[in-house]
Amino acid sequence: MDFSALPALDFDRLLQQFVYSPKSPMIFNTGFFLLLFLAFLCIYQLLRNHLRARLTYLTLFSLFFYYKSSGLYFLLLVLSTIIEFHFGKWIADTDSPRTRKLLLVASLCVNLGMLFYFKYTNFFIASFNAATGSRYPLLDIVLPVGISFYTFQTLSYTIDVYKGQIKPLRNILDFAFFVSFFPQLVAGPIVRASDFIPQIHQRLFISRPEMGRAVLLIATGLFKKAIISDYISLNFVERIFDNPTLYSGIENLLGVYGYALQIYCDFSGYSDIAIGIALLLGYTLPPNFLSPYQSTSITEFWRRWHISLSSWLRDYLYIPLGGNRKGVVRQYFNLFMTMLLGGLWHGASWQFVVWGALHGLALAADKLFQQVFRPRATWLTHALGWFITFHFVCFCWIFFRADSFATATQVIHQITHTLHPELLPEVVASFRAVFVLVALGYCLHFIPDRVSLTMENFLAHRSVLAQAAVLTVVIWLVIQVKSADIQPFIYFQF
Amino acid sequence: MHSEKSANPFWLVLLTVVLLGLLSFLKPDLTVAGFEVRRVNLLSDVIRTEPLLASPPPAPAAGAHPADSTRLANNLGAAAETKPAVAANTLPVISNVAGLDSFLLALRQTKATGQKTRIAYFGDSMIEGDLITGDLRNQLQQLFGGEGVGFVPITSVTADFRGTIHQTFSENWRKYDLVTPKLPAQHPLGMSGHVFVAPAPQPATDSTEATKPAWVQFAAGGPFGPVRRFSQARLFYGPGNAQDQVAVTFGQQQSAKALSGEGQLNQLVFTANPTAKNLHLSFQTHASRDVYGVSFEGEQGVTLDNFAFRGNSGMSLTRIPRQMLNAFGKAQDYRLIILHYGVNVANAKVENYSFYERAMTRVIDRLQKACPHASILLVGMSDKSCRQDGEYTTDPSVPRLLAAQQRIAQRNHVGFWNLFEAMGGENTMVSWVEGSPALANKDYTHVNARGARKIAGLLSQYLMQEYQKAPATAAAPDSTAAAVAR
Repeated sequence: MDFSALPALDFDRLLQQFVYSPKSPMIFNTGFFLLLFLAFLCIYQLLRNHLRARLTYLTLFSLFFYYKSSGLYFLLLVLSTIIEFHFGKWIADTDSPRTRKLLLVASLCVNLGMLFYFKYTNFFIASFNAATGSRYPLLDIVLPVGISFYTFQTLSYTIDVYKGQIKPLRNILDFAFFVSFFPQLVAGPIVRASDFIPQIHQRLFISRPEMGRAVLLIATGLFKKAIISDYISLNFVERIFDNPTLYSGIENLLGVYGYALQIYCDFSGYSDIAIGIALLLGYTLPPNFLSPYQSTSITEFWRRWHISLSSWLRDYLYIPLGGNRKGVVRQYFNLFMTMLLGGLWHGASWQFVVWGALHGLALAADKLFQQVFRPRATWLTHALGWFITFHFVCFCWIFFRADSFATATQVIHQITHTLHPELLPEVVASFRAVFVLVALGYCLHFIPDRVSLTMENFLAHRSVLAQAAVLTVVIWLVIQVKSADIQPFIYFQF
Repeated sequence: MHSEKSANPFWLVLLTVVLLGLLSFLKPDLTVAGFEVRRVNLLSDVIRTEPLLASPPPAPAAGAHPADSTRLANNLGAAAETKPAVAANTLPVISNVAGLDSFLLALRQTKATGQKTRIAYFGDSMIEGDLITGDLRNQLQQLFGGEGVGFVPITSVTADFRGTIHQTFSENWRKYDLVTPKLPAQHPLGMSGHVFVAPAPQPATDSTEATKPAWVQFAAGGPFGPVRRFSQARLFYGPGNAQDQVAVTFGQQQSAKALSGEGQLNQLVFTANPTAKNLHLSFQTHASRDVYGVSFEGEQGVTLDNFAFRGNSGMSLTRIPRQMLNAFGKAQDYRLIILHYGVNVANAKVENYSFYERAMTRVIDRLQKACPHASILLVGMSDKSCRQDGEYTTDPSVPRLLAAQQRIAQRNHVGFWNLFEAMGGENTMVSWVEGSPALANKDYTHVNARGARKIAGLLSQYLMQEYQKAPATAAAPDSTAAAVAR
């Protein structure tokens, strides 16, 4: 053991860690978060029998967490909390339907107005400029982290209160707790008021199965996000999408498959860690991803992919638009519009709009196909359905990932015109580590649910030391991958 | 269920931290089964050292003088020793070396009389697809006149990527180049490091079709090509059957020309009047025939040839036969040869680059003899990052290779331009990759089109600075002359 390497603690630099720094937002897969969370949990557990103190403490920590990621924008979160809390209260306390509606509209304006201002102002200015040839300057607007998530969360609260589906919270601290709950604050899952509010006042109790599930979720989440996704993105996928024309079609195709895995691992991995951390705090969040690439139709895909968003869009956009209650044509239109707007929610650019529109069209086509042909479920329709669904989703990811339509077209052109499948063995051999991880990622994805249940049970009945050892191994692997050399550029003469 | 005790996650996290802490005592640089085990440095991961070391915060907290934080950082022992950034910060700047007299003289004549100045820009993947060279050419042509993208090899792996000319070609060209394991003597490589062989015709048999003539087509312009029309094209080819012909479609004009000439390197000049958007060449050969490429240019001003070869270290340029190099030198009369290499040589594990110095000396010697009127400029390597403790920093090999490149220039009396310093010095690559918009790719080595434009701007700025210094008199000792006399 080498004790001489023990570093002296530098308090200036330690303090720096607590200050907002745009270059290092607070994310779960950092060492700093681990230590901070340890310190946090110590006090959180001491407060377990003091409900109000525990809730206040967690809320303050959440606000700090948000401040670390967004700086002064945490005031926006506070403001949004205060406004929506009062709208909820006023709506519930008003009898006149007209006033209630007015209040709801006002709340929507504030919430969506905020989202639009920060997220879409420049997009609309740029689109307007492009369409009319005018030259309005873009505004200097920074998108506050997580705003897309928490505005949707507060929206669901106000709408549910309006519909009478939930009772409004009477204590603003409870509401602040719900809005700012840090595990899902910046990247989802989007938690429904109706799911979360009943849990706020529960006694802090974490059962053994919950603990096992939390350990499994955090371990697999870290593995997906910080090992698979980060490694393949840096060492392969990003390069392809940076310069598609430098690579043969087969590399572009592998890049697209790689990206499909990367975005799933990145997003679902982070969601899993969030759900796991929430469990450690005594709160259950709904699952956000259910092995989406196992889907055999696009409709099924959207029941398995980013569930908290797709169900939100269904309940607060598709159904209010009329859903399937206004005739077949309207239903298809509603599906299409929901997905188009859902696409735009992911980011302010036309590529996301196209991505959403493609999915909207596919959902409508799938619905039509199911109604007209009613195919029988055989292994063949299953396999065919899976193949088509997976490749359609991958095709759409090209638009989701490409920084411009030109790039997206280049990727597609390379795949269709310069495929050079003969390069496959050479490419795979040269990027061995990348493809081992890709293969592993897809294999893990197709593991049946019962296997993860068995593992959850297994972990639940191990000692806390064994559980900690599991986490340690994964974190150790993360550190290995994080500091591994960058795979050099490799060229294939195609 | 309620009799069960609630689990306490605090112990879970505490034990995890303790176990990780124990792992951090593992010997550094441990290697298990060929796999280098990275050290678990929980504190370096927790207390990020990078922001303070590389760039102190603009408004340090009271009492935290930047100098103090550097000192404190050094006291951190383990953290500081894994960060070459601290040591590299104090590295002396590797200065530029002058030596462009012959080129600058030619430029002045171009400015005064319009006489042509031709530049050969050799490089690796950094200049593929006319990156850097395309922008540099545009800038020089704006200042000194000239048109056309210069020499374009017959086929290219990056034809689709190139933004200054669009190129398509038949599949039946046989190709030899700098990385062909065994080069046949009868097909010598050209200046670009390639030779393309139009096939000998095979009569049709029952099972195969007759050989189709090899062809190549060029279309002017592209996203980065300001000139969207060709006026003059020069075709370079080797000797062969006297009856061989090339069918030329240049815009609306069609003609067939004999591929005459017995020399090792021959050329045909096509002019388009009016200017054309496309050039199509189809080679009707009776035996196999070496073809090198087509140069697109104007009557005067600056012409700049891009000789990109991916993966090249520069050293393999000696595989181009001397005679062929001399023939190109004679035909083209280059006034400046730029050698831009390094990213394929720099390696963190290599301390001594004397092998590189020796090999590049041979390359320079050959080029100088082939092009006696040319100044030679070595462009130092650009910044390149590696990862240390999960942080990107300048690769330790970069300053070593730059020093070697500067020595090569000094010993051979040629110019040296320190691109690494010009682009911003240490850790510039990190800011180029992470900047918005990004100037470089995620391999932390290659710049993208925006970064290339920036580098071209920096280089032309340097050339213009040299140009604007007091004009050299004809009697002044020329670095070129010195090199040739050696």
